[in-house]
Amino acid sequence: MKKVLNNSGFAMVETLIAAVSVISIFALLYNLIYPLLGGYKASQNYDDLDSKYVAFYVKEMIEMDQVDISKQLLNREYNVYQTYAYINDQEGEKRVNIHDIDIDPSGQSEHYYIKNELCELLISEGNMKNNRFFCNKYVAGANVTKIYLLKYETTNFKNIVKDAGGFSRSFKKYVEYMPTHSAAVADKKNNYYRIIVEIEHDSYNTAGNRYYSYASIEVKK
Amino acid sequence: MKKLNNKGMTLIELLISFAITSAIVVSMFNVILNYQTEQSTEALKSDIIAYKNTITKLIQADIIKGELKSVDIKPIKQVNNYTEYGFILTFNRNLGSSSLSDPDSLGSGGVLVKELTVRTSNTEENYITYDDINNKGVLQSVKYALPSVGKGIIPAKDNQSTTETNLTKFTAVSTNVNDYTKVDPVTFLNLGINYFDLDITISNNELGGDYHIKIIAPLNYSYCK
Repeated sequence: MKKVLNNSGFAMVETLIAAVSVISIFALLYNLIYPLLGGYKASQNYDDLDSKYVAFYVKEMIEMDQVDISKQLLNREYNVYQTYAYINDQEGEKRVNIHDIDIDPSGQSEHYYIKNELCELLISEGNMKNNRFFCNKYVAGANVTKIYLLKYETTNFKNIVKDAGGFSRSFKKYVEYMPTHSAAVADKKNNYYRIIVEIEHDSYNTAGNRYYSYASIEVKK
Repeated sequence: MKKLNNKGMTLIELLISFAITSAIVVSMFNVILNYQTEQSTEALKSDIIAYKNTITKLIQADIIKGELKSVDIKPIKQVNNYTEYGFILTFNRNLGSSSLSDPDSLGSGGVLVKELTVRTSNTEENYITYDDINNKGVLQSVKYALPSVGKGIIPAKDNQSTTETNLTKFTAVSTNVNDYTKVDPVTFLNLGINYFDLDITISNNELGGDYHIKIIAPLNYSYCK
C-alpha cells in the first residue's frame, strides 16, 4: 500500500507550544544578559578611571600610615567617614557641611579648612610623612565627600546596602555590581580591607546637577 | 483517501498578508533608525572614554612611578585658529631602565622632565602631546589626537553667516597646582603640601554632557610606589 504524505502542517497547539518554548528560552537569555548590561552601565556611570586613581592615592596614604584600621571594623561590617568643612570665626570652630561653604578658590568670605574623618585618624607626623595633612588636602582637592571602609569580603556589605535606607541610589547601584569575592579568597587575604571613595562632580551633566562617582580598592594593613 | 488541498492563497489573503508585513517593516524602520543613532552616539562615547583613559593612564603612571615633584604652567599660546596650554612636569625619580639608558631623556639632576601640551581648536585638530624633554630642550613629540567625528555648520553670532566647527573638541583646560583650601594659621600649618589638579573638558553636543580628563595627584608625595 502506498504511504500517504502528511501535508496537514502544524496544528495550532503545536505552534503555540513551540512559540512558548522559544519565548521561554529568550526570556532566560535576557535574564542572564541583563545583569551584564546593568553592570556595564553602572561601571560606565559610576566607576571611572579618575575615581580609581583617587582611591589609589587615599589607599597609599592609609597603607603608609601607622594607623590600625582593624579597630574601626570591630563588630562592624563597614564604617563611613564624612568630609566636613571647619570654619573658624569669632565664635570658635564650627563644623559645617561642605556644600554650605563657598569653595570658590578666590572667595575670601569664609575662613575654612576641610577634613575627612578617616584622614583625621592618620597619625604619622613630620613634614614628609604627614599623611593626615596630605590626606585632608588631597580629599579636599579631589572632592571626596565620603570614604567607606569595609571588610575584604563584600557579601555582607552588599546585603546591608541592598536592604538598608540612607544610601543614595547611585551608591546602591554601584555596590550592587561590585564584584563579590568568595569566603575562601577572603580567608587568604588576612589584614586586607577595602575602601570605597565617593567623589562629587558638580555640573557634570547638562542639568548642572551634582553627580557622584565611586571607586573601590583593597587596602593592606 | 484524503484529498490534498492544492488551491493556494487567494488574492485577498495575499493582499492582507502583504499589508501586515509592510506595516511591520515600516514600524521597525523607525526603531532601527533610532538604534542606529544610539549606536553611533555610544561608539563616540566609547572612543572618547578610551581616549580619556589612555591619557589618564599615561600621566598617572608617570606620577605614581616617578613621584611628581612640581608642575610649571607655561603661558597660554593663542594663535588665530588654536589655543595651546602647556605644562612642564618634573619628577623626583627617573622612570626605569629605558630612561636611564638614554641620558638625553633626563633633565638636569637625573630626574625626568616631561612636557604636556593641550591644543584646543574649533577648526583644526584637537590633540594632546606628552613627551620627554631632553637636556637640549628638544621635544620628542608624539601626538594623541582627539577622536574626530567631523565638522558641523553652525550659525555665527550675527545670524548672517555660518561657521564650520569641530563637533568634538576640548572646550576648557583648567589647572591648579596650589592648595586652594584656606589654611588656619594656628591649627592647620601650611607645610607646602600641594596637589596637581588638571581638568580637560571634552564636549560634543550629541553626548548629552561633557567628558573630563581629570588628573589629581599629590605633589612631592614620597610614598608613591
